[in-house]
Amino acid sequence: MPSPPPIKFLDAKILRSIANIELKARLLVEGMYASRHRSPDYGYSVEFVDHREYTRGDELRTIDWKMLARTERYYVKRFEMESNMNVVSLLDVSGSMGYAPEDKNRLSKLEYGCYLVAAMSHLAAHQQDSPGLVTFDQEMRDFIPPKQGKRHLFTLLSRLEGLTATGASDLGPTLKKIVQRLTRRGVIVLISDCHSDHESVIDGIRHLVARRHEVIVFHLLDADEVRFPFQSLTSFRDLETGGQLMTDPLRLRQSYLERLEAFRETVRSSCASAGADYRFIDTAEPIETVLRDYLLFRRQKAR
Amino acid sequence: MSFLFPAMLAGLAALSIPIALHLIARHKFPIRDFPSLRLLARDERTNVFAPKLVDPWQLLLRLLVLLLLALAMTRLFLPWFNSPAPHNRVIVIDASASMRQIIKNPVGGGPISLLDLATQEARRLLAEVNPPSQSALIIAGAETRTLAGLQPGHSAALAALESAPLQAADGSGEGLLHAVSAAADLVRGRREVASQIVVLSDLRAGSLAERNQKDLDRLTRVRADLGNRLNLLFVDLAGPSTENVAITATRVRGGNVKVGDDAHIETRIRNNGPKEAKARLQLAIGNQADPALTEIPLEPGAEAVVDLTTPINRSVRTLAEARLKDPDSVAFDNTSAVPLNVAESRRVLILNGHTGQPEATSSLAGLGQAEASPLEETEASNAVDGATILRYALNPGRELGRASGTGIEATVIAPEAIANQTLSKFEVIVLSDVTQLPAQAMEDLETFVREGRSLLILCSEGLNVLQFNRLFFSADPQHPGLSPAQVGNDLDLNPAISLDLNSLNHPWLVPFRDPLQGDLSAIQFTKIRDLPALAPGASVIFTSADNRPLAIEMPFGHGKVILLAFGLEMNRGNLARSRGFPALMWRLVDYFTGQLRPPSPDTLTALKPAVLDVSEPAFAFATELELTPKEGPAIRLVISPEQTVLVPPLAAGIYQLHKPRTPGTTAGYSRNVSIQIDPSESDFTRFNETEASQWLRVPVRIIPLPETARLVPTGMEFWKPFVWLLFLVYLAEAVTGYVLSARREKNRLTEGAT
Repeated sequence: MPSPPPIKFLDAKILRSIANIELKARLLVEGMYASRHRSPDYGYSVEFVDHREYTRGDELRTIDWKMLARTERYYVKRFEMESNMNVVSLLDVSGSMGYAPEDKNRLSKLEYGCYLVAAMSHLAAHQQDSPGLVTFDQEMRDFIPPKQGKRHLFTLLSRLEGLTATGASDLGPTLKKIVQRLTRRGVIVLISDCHSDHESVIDGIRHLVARRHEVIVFHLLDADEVRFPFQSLTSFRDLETGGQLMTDPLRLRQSYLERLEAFRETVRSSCASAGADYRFIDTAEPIETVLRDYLLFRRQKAR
Repeated sequence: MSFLFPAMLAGLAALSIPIALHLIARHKFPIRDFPSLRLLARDERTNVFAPKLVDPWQLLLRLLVLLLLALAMTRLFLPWFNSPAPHNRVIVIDASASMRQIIKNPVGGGPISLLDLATQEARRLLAEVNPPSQSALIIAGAETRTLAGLQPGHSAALAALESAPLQAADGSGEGLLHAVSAAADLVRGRREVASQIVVLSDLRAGSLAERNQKDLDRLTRVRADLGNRLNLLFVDLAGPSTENVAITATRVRGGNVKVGDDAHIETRIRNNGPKEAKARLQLAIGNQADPALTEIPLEPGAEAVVDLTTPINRSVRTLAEARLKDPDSVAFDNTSAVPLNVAESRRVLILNGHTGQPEATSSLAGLGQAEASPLEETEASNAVDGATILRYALNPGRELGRASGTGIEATVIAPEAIANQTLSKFEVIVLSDVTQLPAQAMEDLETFVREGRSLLILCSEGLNVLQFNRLFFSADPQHPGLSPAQVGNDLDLNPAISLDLNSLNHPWLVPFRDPLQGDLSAIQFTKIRDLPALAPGASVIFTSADNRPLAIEMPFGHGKVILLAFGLEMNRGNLARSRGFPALMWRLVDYFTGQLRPPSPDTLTALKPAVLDVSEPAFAFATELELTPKEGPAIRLVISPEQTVLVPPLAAGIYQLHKPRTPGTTAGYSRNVSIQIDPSESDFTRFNETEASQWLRVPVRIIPLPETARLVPTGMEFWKPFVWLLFLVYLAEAVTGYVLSARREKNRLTEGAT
């Protein structure tokens, strides 16, 4: 059997950095397969939860015979059921994500996002969860439903390789459309630069959370966007609309940075208020560091 | 301080270019994709045209480079430096006829002609020109000659001046303006130094009278090109006062003069000087001067026409020369010669049918019809007969004992006396009521007409119609008679009839259609002869208002015959009393003798092309003629189909017009042609600066002769320091540019790294 082709976005370095960190759904997820996540259902696992009185229909094997002996009443033991988890990555592939920095050693936001998706999906698959992928700009472009299995993972990773950043983005309406396709609750990893109207971004995130998904927002910006290092007179061209603005960046830098900070704060606070995880990512940061830090943060938070 | 090329100051406008570049396009506006544009453009759009200068030092240096470049190109000229400045000097010497004027040498010494003074001054002005200054020399004479083009120093121009002694032309040639524009052409485009066109002239207004548009355009173009760097200077050589009485025109009144007549030489003289002058005129015919002088006092500017009259007793082709006896400063206009062609008198033989017939016989009586009343007979016998009236009309001056004559010699004889006459001496024979002629005389008369002479037949009261018609009329074309018409009865007309003026189309009568030439409308006839039939080939010359033929013409051999149906006597109408009658008869003789065309003036103006009429019979079969001066080669002229020749511009003098002569042949017919110096050369009306500037459309300065010593311009051109400074600043700009570029590259790399 021929070995599968090498996957571009499955970086061994990244995988090594997150090898010992499992993605755990902070909230309860509904899974078809028993996995390591607590399920809202009680099932068959080793984790004892509590007792309850026997009622008709309960399986006899669940009766705690020791309690019967002590109390002469029928109690059944309830165990926490571990279920598999849907980890769906929503990757923004609008034009703004395709920003290519002058420094060729740096990744574009789209590439960075692809690495993130690959790593998260691989992690999920590794722990018997179901990774899925949705790409979108102002419309949903790809929908790979969450599934288990290596073949599915390869399918997903292969899809990442063919992505190009084009079109405009409008997060609010797009996320509403996507969430209608995700019938099962799970983890939704939104990877986007959030270059949409603020209200729209917030509305979209709230809509995801309202459907009881666990939402992780990776707010991805390029280092040039974060630092705005330009000095010379430049005609800036918008990647999504094509509009141009000729300006002296030195004069605008301060106000730009202030606006950016305000924008980040808005998104962050909106996520916090909605109960979504928010992680700002500067593409100059190594992916493995970002990912490991976030997973560690989740683990601590879960405890 | 001035600029040689002030237009280059416009280059300072280029200073805005680096400023604009520094403000707008410092780095060629790189286009950079950027995702967060809405954060930039949300509420503050920075205007890139905001006046923020980058690299101000580099900008300053660039501005300085441009400024120095523009200033260097304008070529700053500092006139307060006392050193002689390089310049171009073109000397134009006016060598027109008026420059022959003799004046007292202002530099010292005796009298000198203006042309010599101009040459002397030109020599001095040229000697001032030393390299790198350049000089040129132009002579405005019969034609504009550039003796030396613009060359460094003065040697070439001086050598040209010395090698060709100047001679004043007989006119203004192509005009002074042509020479000035040629001088301007020499300095065209030479903006680097000042250019002087120095015209040595007598400032005669006539020298600028002819202004060719092309020359004006050339001059104004050069002036527009050079601006104040072109100085047009006229040096006044003559001074304001010139005493001169000039003969401005001479002509022979009436054209050709006939033997026995008086020649009237009309001489127009003018006092061109500032004072009253007394002109004493003398006339010379050929070499014979009339000792009598005509004295005319003339106020300044006054003009007079003097009729110098002398009797002419023989046929001759010579010159009549009017001379002013008192010499003045200008000699050439003191004499004027015109060709004087004295023609032989035209002789007219009148056969008077009334001689020996004292009693006028009515034709009606002759025909056996009703006789005239005794009263009419008495009136007719007392009347002057037509032949006598005609004789008087043909040469009234001669008949009245006055000097003037028409050159027509009329002889009246009886018809029987014709046998004693040599008919070949006459040009015209008139038969006045002649009804009888000897047979031999009749043959001689026919031969006379057939050989090309002319016959006039007058039919009056005393004509015997039967005899006349039998003798002269024939309706047979094989044997034509001399009369163009059969003569009928005498018609009494009541009311009287007048001429049909619309029928005056014959060459003899054409001028009389103009009443000023002779009013024929008042002529009325009370009696005329009926003309019942015309001879073959005869035609009516004119008719009465009621369409009766009054004059009939018929060619006969080489000659022609005209019959007049009216008599000239007083009782036949008022023709003989009318003012137009003598002129009518003179012109009829002119028609008979082929002299209807006015004689060619044969007096031309020097250096002006002219057209001469050469339609005389002597040149009838020639295709070319020669115009031979007294000295020098003949000029060949081609005769045009209109029997004219175009005479090119020639020098003044007396020329002979004749057929081309081959060696060994005898001299044939020739005609004198007098070419006179342009009379406008005698008019010393001067122009001033304003007039000259208006005429030439460029500023003109007139300076007196002494001022020519200060014509060399002084000053220094201040361009070398600019060039050095420019070099240094450009070097600094280059270094600054390199340093800034390196720094910019470093910054760019730093940006990339961060």
